[in-house]
Parts: sequence; C-alpha cells; structure tokens
Amino acid sequence: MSQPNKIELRRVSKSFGSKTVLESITADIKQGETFTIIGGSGSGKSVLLKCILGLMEPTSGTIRIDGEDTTHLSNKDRMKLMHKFGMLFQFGALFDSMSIWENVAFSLLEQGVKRHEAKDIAISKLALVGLSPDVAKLAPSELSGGMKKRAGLARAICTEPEIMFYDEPTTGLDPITSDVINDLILQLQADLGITSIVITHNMQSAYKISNKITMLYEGRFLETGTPEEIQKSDNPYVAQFINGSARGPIKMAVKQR
Amino acid sequence: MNPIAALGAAVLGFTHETGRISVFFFQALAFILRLSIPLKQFFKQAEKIGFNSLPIVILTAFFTGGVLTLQSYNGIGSSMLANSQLGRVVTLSMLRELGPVLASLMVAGRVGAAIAAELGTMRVTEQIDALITLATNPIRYLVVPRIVACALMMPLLVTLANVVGIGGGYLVATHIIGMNGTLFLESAFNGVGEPDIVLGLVKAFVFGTIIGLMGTYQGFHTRGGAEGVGRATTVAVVFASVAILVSDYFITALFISAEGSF
Repeated sequence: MSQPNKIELRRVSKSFGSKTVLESITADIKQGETFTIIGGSGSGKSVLLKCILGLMEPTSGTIRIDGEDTTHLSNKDRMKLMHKFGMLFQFGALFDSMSIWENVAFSLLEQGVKRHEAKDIAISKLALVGLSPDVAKLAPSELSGGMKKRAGLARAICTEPEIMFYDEPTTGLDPITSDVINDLILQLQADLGITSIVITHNMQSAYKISNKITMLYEGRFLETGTPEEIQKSDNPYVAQFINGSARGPIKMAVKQR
Repeated sequence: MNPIAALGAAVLGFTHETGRISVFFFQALAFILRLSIPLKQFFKQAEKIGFNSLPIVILTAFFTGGVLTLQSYNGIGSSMLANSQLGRVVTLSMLRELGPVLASLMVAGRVGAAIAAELGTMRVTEQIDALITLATNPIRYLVVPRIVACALMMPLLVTLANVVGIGGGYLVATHIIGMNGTLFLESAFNGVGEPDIVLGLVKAFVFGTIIGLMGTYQGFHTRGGAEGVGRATTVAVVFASVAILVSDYFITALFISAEGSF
C-alpha cells in the first residue's frame, strides 16, 4: 500500500454553538481506498462528510485533498473542486422537477452538452447501475427507493468523479437490493479506481465494501482498522456496535438534547 | 423572562434576521449585476410567476376597480361632482395604490408561497446539497432566476391590473350607476399624468423583488422536514405582505416629497 493520500484530515473539529459534534478528527484516506465510517445516529457522521465535501466549514483543523488545503475555499474554487466529487445522498436527492435522465445528465446539460448527446450518456450511465432505458423518461416520484438510489448513483458518477461519498447507501433497502448497491460500489472502485467514503450502519455492507473501517463515537474516531481487525476488536464500544447489542457501554439517549 | 429581556431578544432577533436576509440578497445581486442569470430557469419561472398569475390578478383588479367606483360615487354624493371627478379618483387610486398593492399581495400569496414550498422541499430532501455536489451554485441556479422573474413580471402584471381595474370601474360607472361613459373616461385621462404610472410601476418592481426575496430566503433556509416547509411557506407570505405594505408607505412618501420639489 504505497498509494498517496487522497484525503487528509488533521485535527478537524466542528461545533454548533456550545455543542461539539466533531472533536479533533485525524485520518488519512489513500487513493483508491474505500473508507467506511460507522457509528450510531447523531454521532456526527453526516457532519464529517459534509465538512470534507465542503457543504460545511469545520470550526478548526485542516482538510487536504490531493495535498491541497481545501478547508477555507472561496465559493468559486469550491465549485471547481466539486468536479472531483460525487455524492450519493441517503434518499437519492433527485431533482423532482426533472426526469430521471435529466437528473443523471444534469452536469452535462449545465456544461452545454447537446440534449440528445447528454441523454445517450445518461442512458449508458443508467445501464451501468442496472437501470433500463425505459426508466430514463420517468419522474423521480415514479421510482422505488432502491431505484432512486441507483439513479442518484448514476448522476453522481456521470461526470467521472475521483472521490465518491456515500451517505447510508443501503439503509432502507431490502437485502438483495442492498447487495446490488454493494456490488456497484465495489465495481466502481475496481473499474474506475475511485476513492470512496461511506457512511453506514449496515455492518454486512461495511465488511464487504471497505478497505478500512472506523467507528465514530461522540465526535471522535474510536478505532480504525481493516474489516478483519474491526471484527476482532476488543474495544467494548466497537464490539457492542458491530454486534448490535443494547447491552454495553453505549447508552442510547431516549430523548435527544 | 423579564419584559426588558424579551424586548431585547425580539430586537436582536429582528436585526439578526434582517442582516441575514440582506446578505442573502447581496449574494444573489452579485450574480444579477454581472448578468450571470440562467436563462432557461428564468423563462420557466417567468411563465410560472407571470403568466400563471394572470387569472387571479385580473379577477382581483376587476372587482377592486368596480367596488372602488361604487364606493367613491356614494362618497362624493353629488352626481355633478361625480361626473367630473369619479374617473379621476378611480384611476389615480388604481394606478398609484390599489393596482400595485393588491396585485402584489395576491401574487405574494400565490407565488411567494409556492417558491418557499418548492425550495424548502428541495432543502429538506437534500436537493440543494445535491446541486452543490454537482458543482452548481444554488444561489445562481435557484434564487437568481426567481427573484429576477418576480421583479420583472410584477410590473407587467400591475400594468394589466391597472387596465382591468379601470375597465371594471368604467363598467360599474356606466352600467350600474348609469353615468355617461365619455365623461368618466375624460375625467380619468385628464386627471392622470406620467408620474402616477411611474409610481405604480416602481412599486410593482420593488414589491416583486420583495416577493421573490422572501420566498427564496425562507425556502432556502428551511429546517425540520414537512413541518419546516409549512412554516417557511407561512413566514414567506406574511413577511412579504408586511414588507409590501410598509415599503408602500415609504415609497409613496418619498415620491410625494420628490414630486413636490419639481
């Protein structure tokens, strides 16, 4: 593993008012690696993802992408950087004012690619995620949850990003569709060499797709390791989480805040 | 909480919110001044905001003009005075005040609410975040076309509202009151000057901007799911309506003092 670091996090913290959500997160994510963040609801996973993406600015710390400090970019540079990124949102986040193919080809249409060319590319991307051309002209509301996620994935990879972000890619899907999504993520990594950051609490999925897994608890990384290492972890918090037990050191707050 | 603290909190809250709305407006204005406006989105919004508001604006203006004529006639009392003044009263009131204000209030309810609900839903379903990850600035793509469309469509709607309102007044004067139509029109056109039309259009432009700004601002900053979308929609309409009525007073006052100095 002599790959260069694609993403470097150095003491990244984020707080909202007096509430600290992330506390001094440090990590290296290598080129072509799939890095999975597990953790309970409200542990700060989404906030961390949004900080790396640039949808939020961390309170302190540095984020470097390809060695370049991207913590405090201007809007213009931020938009340029976004071309490197693709993101699959939890519920797809498809634009409901557009058809599926217009969603997938959104970036192409914005760049001024001709409509029929963009449509052909969109259909080929849909095929890549296992959706037939008939789906292309449908509205997002006509699709099932799993199909929405696949269409969202097609949109994210349409501009050939170098880094993919997945926000709970398999949550709410049946086991078979979940595994289809897992295979798609693996395939994208193998075929296109994409670096990925995945948020999930589906352990089966995490073991299958990850090169590295880390557990986020109360704003800190508790333990980082390969899927095998995490499975054998003797950290009581990690053990409780991956085995999905209500008994253990992690107490679920009944009421938030 | 003691009353002074409550007052302080209210003032701070108001100042904070006003500041945030201003910053938001200037972000959009930066694109507008550079003429960086997504045209396709603009035309789509212009149709939604302008063309689709025609029925409600026409209906409102027609009955406003009608009732205004009826009330003014009864208020004037003498039919001699009515013959020379009724047309003028109705036309001036429509052009300077009722046309822009009522049309804008109706559009605020229809369009302001729709904008806030649409952007609010996009916010809570992460579609606005998705736009950013697709390297598209959501202020430029979503906010700018809506504000520009509101600001440009409103004067057109108000012009139509004025014509329809005066037409409604004419019909009531001639058919219900039984006035001579020529006298009504003569009084209408003799009493009206360019400044009256300009004032109405300036108001329409400002009110349109307010509707677009409030709708997009509230929608853009929606939080908390379906309930949040409902709240954003309500607040957008209420804020826009209040801002229209308050700014109406100040635009009129400014205009009258400027007119006096000519």
